Amino acid sequence: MKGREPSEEEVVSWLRERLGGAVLDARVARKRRVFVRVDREHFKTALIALKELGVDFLEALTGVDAGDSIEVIAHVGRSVSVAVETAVPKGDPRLPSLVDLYPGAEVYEREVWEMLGVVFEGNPRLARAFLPEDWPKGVYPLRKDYEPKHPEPLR
Amino acid sequence: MGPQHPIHPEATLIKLKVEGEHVVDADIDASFVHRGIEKALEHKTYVQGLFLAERICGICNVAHTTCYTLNVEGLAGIEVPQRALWLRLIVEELARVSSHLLWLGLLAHVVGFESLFMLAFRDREVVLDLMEEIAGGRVTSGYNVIGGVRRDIDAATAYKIKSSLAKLKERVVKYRRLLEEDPIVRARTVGVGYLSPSEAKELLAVGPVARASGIAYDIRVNDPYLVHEEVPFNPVVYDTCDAWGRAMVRVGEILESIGMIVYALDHAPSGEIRARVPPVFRPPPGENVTRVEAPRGELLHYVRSDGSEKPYRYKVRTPTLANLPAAISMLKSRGDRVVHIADVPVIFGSIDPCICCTARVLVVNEKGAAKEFQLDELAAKRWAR
Amino acid sequence: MIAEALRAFVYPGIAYMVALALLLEWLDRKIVARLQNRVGPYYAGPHGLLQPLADLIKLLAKEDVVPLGADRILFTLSPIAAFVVVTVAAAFVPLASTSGLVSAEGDAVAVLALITIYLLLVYTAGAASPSRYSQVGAVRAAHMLLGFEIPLMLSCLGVLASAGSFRLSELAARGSVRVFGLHAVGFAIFLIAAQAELERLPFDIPEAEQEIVSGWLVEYSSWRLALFRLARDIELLLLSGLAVTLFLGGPVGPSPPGAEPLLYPLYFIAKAALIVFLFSLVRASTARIRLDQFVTFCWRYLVPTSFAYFALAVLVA
Repeated sequence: MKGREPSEEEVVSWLRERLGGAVLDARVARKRRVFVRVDREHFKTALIALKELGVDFLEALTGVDAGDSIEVIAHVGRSVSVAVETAVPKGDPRLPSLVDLYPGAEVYEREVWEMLGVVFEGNPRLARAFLPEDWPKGVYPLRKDYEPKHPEPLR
Repeated sequence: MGPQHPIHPEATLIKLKVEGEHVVDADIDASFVHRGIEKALEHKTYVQGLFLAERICGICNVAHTTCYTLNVEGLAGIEVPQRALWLRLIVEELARVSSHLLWLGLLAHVVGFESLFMLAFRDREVVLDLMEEIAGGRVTSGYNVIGGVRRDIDAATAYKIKSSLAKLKERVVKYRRLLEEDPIVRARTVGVGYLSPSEAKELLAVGPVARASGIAYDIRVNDPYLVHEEVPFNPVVYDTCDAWGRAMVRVGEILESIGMIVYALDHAPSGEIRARVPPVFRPPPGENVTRVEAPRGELLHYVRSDGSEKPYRYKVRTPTLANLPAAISMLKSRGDRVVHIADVPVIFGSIDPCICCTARVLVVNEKGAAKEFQLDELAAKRWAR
Repeated sequence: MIAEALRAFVYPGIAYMVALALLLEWLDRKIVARLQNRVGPYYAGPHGLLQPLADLIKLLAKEDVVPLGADRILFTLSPIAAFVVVTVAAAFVPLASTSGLVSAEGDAVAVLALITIYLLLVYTAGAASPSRYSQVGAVRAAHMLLGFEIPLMLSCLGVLASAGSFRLSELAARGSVRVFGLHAVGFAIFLIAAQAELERLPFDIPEAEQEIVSGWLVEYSSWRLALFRLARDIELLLLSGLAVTLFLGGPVGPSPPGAEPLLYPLYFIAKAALIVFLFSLVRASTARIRLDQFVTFCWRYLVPTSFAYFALAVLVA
């Protein structure tokens, strides 16, 4: 563990200091919960900055279909959980891969790509991880426009 | 090895490239148990979703419901009575004991130690009976609800819990000695499945896998939920970085959990156990993140509300998913660190895999629109591959 | 003629051997179960005595599947040959009297040779199956041979040398117990090597269920599997019988004259049961060792010790 972990306020001020206007929103929701919004170009930079501060553990990558865009949230931190959010337009859903920062992120990126179609450029193995082998390409199940057919009861 | 193989409690495919008995490369395909739970949760009210969340995993069901209820309560601003938090802790730790005992039996089975397997499962019966007394179910407890817990623990039950756990504790101490001393068990686990501390950090390992590599990361300490700040306990950390270390961590945790349960039984305040919540409610728009130390490691739930009675998005990140990259790394031979075929079940088992937790997203019909397959056509199509 | 046939096929012939083998299997399962806080076989026959027989009958009722790609000839011959080999070997071992069903000069060596042939049959059985798991299991069995074969042979030869005879019935007739002093070493080596031969825990490497799903046995079903199971039980009888003859003084014990035909079989059963008890104790209290660890163990400890034992036994004799 790299030294003492920063407090919630320290996280917010550090990010504002390092990224300036790229931080679209930052708030301390409650004890050990920080939610930060950054623009797409600075998504990775924010995470690099946080790693320097001592928030160096990536817990999860969440993808959310927000209508015209897809939001990607990186949950980082061991004690304080910082949710770094960014949005990518559905027409061009690309983000730089975090694999060089966090090698273990490979499988998280695979999941977000598979379910929502976000392409993480630089991920060495952006391939099917959880869907069956005959799943059609280009169909992203967690997008809101995908409606699963209800299975018919077996007769 | 897989997807059907005697060693897998669930269908997983471990692809190994071997030279003789040495494993040279590895990959894991966890796609066989996908059920579409995250998508399903978007179509259910928050209360309905609880039942779904509970069934993400059979053995970790308490961790999932604890996390889910805390998550939704935080999102909706629902205040939970103190006693309920204590009771939740008791049941959560009891589930941890049950899970670790099952794992111990599986480890014994993997190593060929049938006797320890039988004995561990016999002892687990004690815990399952206690769970049934408290919650009504042996494995899937159905105990946590949004707003609190469903049933109270009275004095008679508390006494029974304490006396049963006292006997269990003696036996677990013996098992710990066995792990420390039995030469064959040690030969099969010491130095097997090596994960260096730096690898554990880079590959984002959680739970006992991380704690056996010297990383003192336990959500109950780092981000206490429930009443963990008031219940004394020590996170169990070893630095041997191997399967043996993970076994010792888990056995140590059983003993710690027993201590926590007894403490909680003695110190839980009296009072209400449940805040009444309407079956359908609309939390204000917002988001919440809740983390829980499940038996397998850190479990994370994320929820986003758009103000309606169903979550806009619900995300579950299970500990086994977090440990998969570490598992794959451990399976590969590197330099003079040779991995034998016989080690594969031990290594894979040492991360305590719960694939049901991990592969959670979809599979009902392949084409969203177009063609409709008959059931046997579908079956034929699968077999052809 | 008829008497000969009865002797060969019924008592103390094949039928008796099979019955004894099944009895020993029952004993093993019961002891292991009790040690694991379980009940073990219970319902088939009094205290489950008929369970091994019931299992064999059940197997016979199953569908016989020959996998595509299996070597049909070897696949069929292996179980039959295995059964024949161990039964013939057991015929030399004194089970019911001071002589085996058959006795000849040098039959001890014949028995040892037959044991080795059985192991080769295990290898061919696995090789005859197309499954990946069978191949691994077969290779493991052959690999293990490298480890325990020499200690097994040498521990027996040491006894034979110090007894001055290669004829099992002679050893049985003398009835000398060789469990103390120098022979304690030989006894221990024999017991360890025998468990490896029998592929029992902690040495059930070729069949490790959790890793290779029954290994070399995996593709065999119905009567073939039944024969292999039976062959294994007879092998247990064979090796415990060998231990009894070489180390425990044979099926001999105090007996009023004339009562030998009645008592000697019982003495045999008692002594063989003791050996099986030791085996079961080990099985219930150990985990499975890994192949490379096993071979290392053999070559580092077992083989040198067995050479030393053999040399000393010869010198002392």
